[in-house]
Amino acid sequence: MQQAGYGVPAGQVTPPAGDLASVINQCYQCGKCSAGCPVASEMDLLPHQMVRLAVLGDVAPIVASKSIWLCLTCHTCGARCPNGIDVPALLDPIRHQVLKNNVSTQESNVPLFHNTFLKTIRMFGRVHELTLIGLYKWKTKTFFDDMDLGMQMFRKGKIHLLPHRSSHLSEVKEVFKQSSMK
Amino acid sequence: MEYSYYPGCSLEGSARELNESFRTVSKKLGVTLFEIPDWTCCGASSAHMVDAYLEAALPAKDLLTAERIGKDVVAPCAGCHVRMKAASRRILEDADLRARFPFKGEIKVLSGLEMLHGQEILSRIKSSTIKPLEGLRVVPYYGCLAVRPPEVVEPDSPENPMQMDHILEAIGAEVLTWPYKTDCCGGSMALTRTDLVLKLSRKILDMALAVGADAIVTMCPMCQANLDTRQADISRQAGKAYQMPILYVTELIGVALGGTDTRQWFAKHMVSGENMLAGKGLI
Repeated sequence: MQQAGYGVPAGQVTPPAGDLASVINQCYQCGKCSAGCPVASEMDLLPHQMVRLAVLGDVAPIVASKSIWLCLTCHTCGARCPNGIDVPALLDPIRHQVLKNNVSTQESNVPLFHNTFLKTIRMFGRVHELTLIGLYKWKTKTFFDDMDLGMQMFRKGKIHLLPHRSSHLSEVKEVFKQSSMK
Repeated sequence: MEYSYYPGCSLEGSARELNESFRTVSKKLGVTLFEIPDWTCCGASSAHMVDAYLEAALPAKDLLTAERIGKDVVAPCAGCHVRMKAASRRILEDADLRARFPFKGEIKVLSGLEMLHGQEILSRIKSSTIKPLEGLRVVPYYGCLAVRPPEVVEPDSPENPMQMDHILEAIGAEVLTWPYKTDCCGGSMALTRTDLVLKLSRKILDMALAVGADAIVTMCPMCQANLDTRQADISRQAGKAYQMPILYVTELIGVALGGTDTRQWFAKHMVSGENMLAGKGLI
């Protein structure tokens, strides 16, 4: 299931440890998470398969999958799991390491979007839709998608031309300095 | 009754009508909201995907401000609510975070529905209703973040929540039973995988149509924006016109309480709902 070109150099992404490892070890592969996942039909690894791989300490196929970025973090899996295993809570620490180590990914627009979103928060302290959408479209070269919709929203006063600049911007920047996005 | 108020970024932009209707009905119901001074973004659906520290630290400043003010905080946006609650939990459990952000957990973070469903406010909604929404058939759509993760959000039920149902009943609407109360519309991938989002949103719209709803009612800005703005694309794809109003519960409370120009709110939607409500003699 591993795609060529999306491999993980050994040791760059570590499997779950501590409390999280002990929680996911409870998985008995009933498949309820995958049955309820709204994007299961698009996934190359199903949620219960990702849990199994994580239990076995084999995170490379998860890192190389589309699924890790297709997960909507809707938490339907976690809310229904008889053993209290929340797949997004398992995937988040893996996603953090993938991004921190600049590992190449499939579905790369998803991490790109989240990264851009956070950069606009670092810039202004709040989201500014026009900057966010502009930067994202610039990076993905999708300038003309949703042009109509954007104009309509602008006319309805839902998209602001100028960003609000928080007076706490220095505190926000300080928070980012302590993170992997420094 | 007094609360601190955390509107969040969506309520300043794409969900302006939620902000305006939430403030208006709160005032009418005798609730005073004090906006947290110059609040910053909670990190939304992105911070937790990218960095564990950012996930807790971005909401921390406003949690600390709210605790200093000393009133419980209401966050009407389902996304802000879950992020603030998740951060407060992590800070209370993690000594390192607590050393940096000395939040003591003396205030609560409430969702908009939780505030409106409080015993006293719910009875005020009922007794102040001068225009019962008779003949309006609605489906309550909670979405993901109003109920999940359940250990963070602590909803009345993660599979079959009832708070919005009760509020809609209190204002006289006919609340229909349907199976997609808490299904995901795909909101977090609105820009990145629009194709997927159209599929998920269409399923929800189709089910609302199948049970004969006049409108889908929600409290989540991401669900509202997604289901509302994507109907034009879905119509093109499906070869039939979708015209399902996606309304905020506070807009309907505003109609029921009377005395407000509620049309200004509905006009901000892509599928406005104005004609449907006017056709029933409600606005």
